[in-house]
Amino acid sequence: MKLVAPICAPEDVPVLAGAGADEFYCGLVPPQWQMRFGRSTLNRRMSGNLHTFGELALTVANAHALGKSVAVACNAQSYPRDRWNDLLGTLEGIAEAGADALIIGDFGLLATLAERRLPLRIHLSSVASCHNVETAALAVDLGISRLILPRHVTLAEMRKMCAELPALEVESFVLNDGCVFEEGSCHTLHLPGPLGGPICLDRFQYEYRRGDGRALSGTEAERLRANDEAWAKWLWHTFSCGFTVTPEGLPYGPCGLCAIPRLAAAGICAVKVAGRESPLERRLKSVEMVRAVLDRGGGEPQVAAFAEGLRKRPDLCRSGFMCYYREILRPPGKRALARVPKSA
Amino acid sequence: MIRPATSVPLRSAEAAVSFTELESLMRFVSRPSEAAGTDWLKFLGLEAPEMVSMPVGRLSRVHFGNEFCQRLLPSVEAVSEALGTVTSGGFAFGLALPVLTDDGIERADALLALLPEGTEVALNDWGLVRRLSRRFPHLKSTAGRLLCRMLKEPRAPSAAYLELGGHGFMTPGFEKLVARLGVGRVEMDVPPFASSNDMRVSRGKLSVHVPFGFATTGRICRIGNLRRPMARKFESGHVCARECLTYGTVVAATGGRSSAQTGIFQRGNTLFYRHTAEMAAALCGAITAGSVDRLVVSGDWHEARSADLRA
Repeated sequence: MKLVAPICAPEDVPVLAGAGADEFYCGLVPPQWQMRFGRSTLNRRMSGNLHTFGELALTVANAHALGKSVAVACNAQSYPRDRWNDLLGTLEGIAEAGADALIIGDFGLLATLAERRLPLRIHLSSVASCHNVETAALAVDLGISRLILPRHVTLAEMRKMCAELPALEVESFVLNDGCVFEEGSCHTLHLPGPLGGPICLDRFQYEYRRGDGRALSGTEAERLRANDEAWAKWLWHTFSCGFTVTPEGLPYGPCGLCAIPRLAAAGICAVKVAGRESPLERRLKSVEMVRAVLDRGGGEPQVAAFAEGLRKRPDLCRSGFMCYYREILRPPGKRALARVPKSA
Repeated sequence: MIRPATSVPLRSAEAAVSFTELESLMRFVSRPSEAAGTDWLKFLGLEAPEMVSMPVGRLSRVHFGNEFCQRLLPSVEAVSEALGTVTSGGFAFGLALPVLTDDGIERADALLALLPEGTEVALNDWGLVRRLSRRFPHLKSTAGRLLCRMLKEPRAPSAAYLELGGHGFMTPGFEKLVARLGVGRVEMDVPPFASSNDMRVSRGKLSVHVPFGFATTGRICRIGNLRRPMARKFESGHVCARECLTYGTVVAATGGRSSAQTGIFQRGNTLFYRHTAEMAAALCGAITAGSVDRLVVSGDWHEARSADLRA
């Protein structure tokens, strides 16, 4: 199972490779694009992007020297018509810089690339919201080599997709950066704090109304209040437990470390550390955590115990609210317990 | 009031009404005769000025099914009953489907198998569009509004925040995709600060949803976890008791603004915004310009569910 890590600069490559990353992904917003269209329209991230094709070429050279690959995210949800020619020119520039893969989130762009046959692999971004075999098969028709699953896919659903399309590489999230809504279907902005910030963190006041026009009973009102309280608690966990880290610098928040044996058994070929916009230290600690679990190997109970011990906060782990794949907290049923393959 | 038939402008959009619940659909289609004609918006509780000033032509269609949540996928019996009721009432029937998992697709197959040739199906997942073209080629694919991706930030204080780009339904890539998959119609929302030019597509016919747009949606539903035990709340693929059919939510205090100011509300797993008069005016312009030929009016899964639709 490969460990895929985010990079923001060419010099990140040796640092994260040294910590155990097998593959890299990054964003690129060249100055010509930024001048015409701004920073945030070529991929999903405002910051953490490379700035020039030269920087990308250096990043790729650094990675190739270590036997690693680089995928470049061009995963905006969609691209308006006025950007199309510049977009295709940028993708050709990325190919010329030697990148190994493009990460694409828009099926219209995918349909175009299917005809252009650029000399690099195509990965389908989690932004493309692929939740079933049929969508994955369409993407395969259009030439993808790898599917990056969205966050909220269950282990059973992954298993089905991997089994039905065995030639397709499938990658899933393993650490950091939760989303409350579906990333590919969220059409909002992360606004500045005074305007509410990300919509999922905005301090909305909810007022419930019954559809039949009746007033809420006392019991209903209490149940709704308790559910809202639980929601706030889940949000806190989803956003890195209040955007905090352990004293050792290990990130809290969305995590699939315990699930690695089941991800491997499902047929997942690569796990992704999210967080292109985060500081190098956070990305480094994240890669080290995942690498430690991959290298340790072993069965589910051993992996779970080891992973839980990394942050030394079993209370947070056992709440389940940090889990990308909370099914892992329940017995796998009659299926044999999965094991982590000793890392390749 | 809605313009009577005699004063319908040269260009108007036909109207469809969409329902998530069978009961609402049945009440609407079998509403009393005095509520027929042009008063149907009032029957739905949607008689706001920006709605009634729309250049709406004939109410010709009734759509069934929820676009946002697999948990609301109707049963075979419900679709069968809706189909019979709608067609008997003299309307064309359409089915709407959300993003589905493989389990959901199996259930959807049984629904699609019920539909007569030429029935329109609004699909919100490109994989489902592929499946329809291969397995149900006698049905007509519509690319639903979840596939029309664009910034629709209802809290944005000015148009400058949304100038990052329009939707992707005008690109050569989109044209290739819909040609490949046999899509004849697409649906979209009216984005905040829209102009009439924002509501155009380069291929196919265009429907626009009114009077609410969706801002964001996802698999994890706040109200749908109301009865879930704490340890199982808010996990991927959770089940629910369809609480969204009982409770709606209005949302206040966005950046200090009230729900009346933002127009934001939540139904189930989805945050919506109510159209402003300016958005409605832009849509009117797009209709009269001939870019939009159908309005899809939200019948029941919204903030203003009519008393006439209640049990």
